[in-house]
Amino acid sequence: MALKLPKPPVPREEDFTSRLRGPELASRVGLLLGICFGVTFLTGVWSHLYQDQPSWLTLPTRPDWLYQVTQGLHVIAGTAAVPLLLVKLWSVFPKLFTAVPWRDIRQLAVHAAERGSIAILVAAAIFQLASGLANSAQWYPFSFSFRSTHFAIGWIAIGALVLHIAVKLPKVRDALGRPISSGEVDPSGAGESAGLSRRGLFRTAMVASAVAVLSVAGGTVPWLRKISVFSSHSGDGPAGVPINKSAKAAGVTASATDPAYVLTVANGDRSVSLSREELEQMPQHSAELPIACVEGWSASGTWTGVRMRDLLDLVEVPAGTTVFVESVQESGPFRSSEVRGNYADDPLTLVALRLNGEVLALDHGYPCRLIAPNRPGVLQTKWLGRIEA
Amino acid sequence: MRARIAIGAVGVVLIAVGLYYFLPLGWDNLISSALWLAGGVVAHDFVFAMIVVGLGIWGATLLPRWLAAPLAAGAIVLVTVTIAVIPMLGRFGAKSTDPWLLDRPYGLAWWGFAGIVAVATALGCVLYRRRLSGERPRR
Repeated sequence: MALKLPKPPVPREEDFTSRLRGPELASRVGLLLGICFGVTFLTGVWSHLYQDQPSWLTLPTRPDWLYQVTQGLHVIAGTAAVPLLLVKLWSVFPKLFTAVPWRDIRQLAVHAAERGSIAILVAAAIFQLASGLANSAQWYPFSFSFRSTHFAIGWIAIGALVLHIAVKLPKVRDALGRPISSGEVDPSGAGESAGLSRRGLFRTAMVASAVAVLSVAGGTVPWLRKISVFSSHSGDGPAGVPINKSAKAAGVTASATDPAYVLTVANGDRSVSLSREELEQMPQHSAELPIACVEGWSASGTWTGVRMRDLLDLVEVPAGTTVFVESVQESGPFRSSEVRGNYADDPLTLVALRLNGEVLALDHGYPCRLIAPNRPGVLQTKWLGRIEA
Repeated sequence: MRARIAIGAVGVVLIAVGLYYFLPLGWDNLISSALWLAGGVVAHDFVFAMIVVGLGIWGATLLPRWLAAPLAAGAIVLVTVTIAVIPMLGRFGAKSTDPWLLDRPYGLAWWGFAGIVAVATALGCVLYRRRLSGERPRR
């Protein structure tokens, strides 16, 4: 005889009696969250365009700080979204226990579609924030490819959000038109919340979001560095500029310090090879440009070196030609990068030999590195060995 | 209604674009991503949210109002910000070859942050109790 165990108690939606919850709170937190997700989506797609630039698209080289701002915003908006998402999910948590209309097929189909779309939205939202924050600390506890998966799920997350807005639009509009405390307190005074008020909870969510932003934003906003105690980089590094990948990590220490090192510039069957001393004897130019990392941190420095255009002129590369730069690094996804014609010809695009008045540190790309305006850090190729048209 | 249908259609198209990029990434990538997608929901809905709801019921029913409200506000700030900076707190991405990555004393910073939240919460309790002292006592 089978032993019949009692069913575990499953709460119903109406068992959650907190008057803090309500569409007035959910819609307001949701609005802020929607702005954060909108900003992260747009800046994320923008960043992706730099790394997988379509042949038909010419990205601007100015303003030189543009990528620094958009990628900083990407991480800041993602961080701001964490407290907001947690409060938003709390505000609608009882909906998880909404009764399923099993007996009415039509209602069941509508119910399943709505629940399914929300499941996609919640799963994608948590996934994006968790994977994005892990990436900002270069932590990869997952085996999926971060960049391509984060990009793809970003589209799914924003699509599910837009779909959710379409479904809830009348309810959201009504709720935003009512005071946040609407329905929170009985006219009799009975059942008033014992703890926070709804307005207090909303303000607390905004404060938590602002604190989270301040705690990391110094990674890209220099004057916040002292209070951004949880930023991934303190801002320290050789010549006052942090480093994402050291020469040792890239395995280039021996080849980059080889006395026989030369930089080869090639155009078809024409090529020149220049030692670092020969590069130093060419006309030197300086530019203050940021290193703006895809992980969201950035730092500016004064870079000095030879203009890319001057090097290309040595082998008569026509203006507007796309060139490829290669590192002496033997492997790794960012050992080479494409430099489109407008970047190669820009007077601020340098093969840098010095940073902030000091000889370029080995970890910054000694003997020489690419530095160009408005370009992601991973494409500012270090330890240059070859430039080819 | 037409506007809602149009917005909904845009949402469906955006999801389809995401699937267009997502599905060709290979089985291993799909399985790993699916585990993380589902894992995030399970971790939130069946662990984190349950704990929060339990603590909320406990706080609202057992704590005096002057203590419950500031404590809830302080806990929200402390817990949500802590969750947002878990990768830094654990220094999980730190590498011996990259000394400039995750180079802050994050543990010490967290204790400092928790201390500020605790002081603000205590101050909130005092101020809230004073404000409530003029009202009809509830407990």
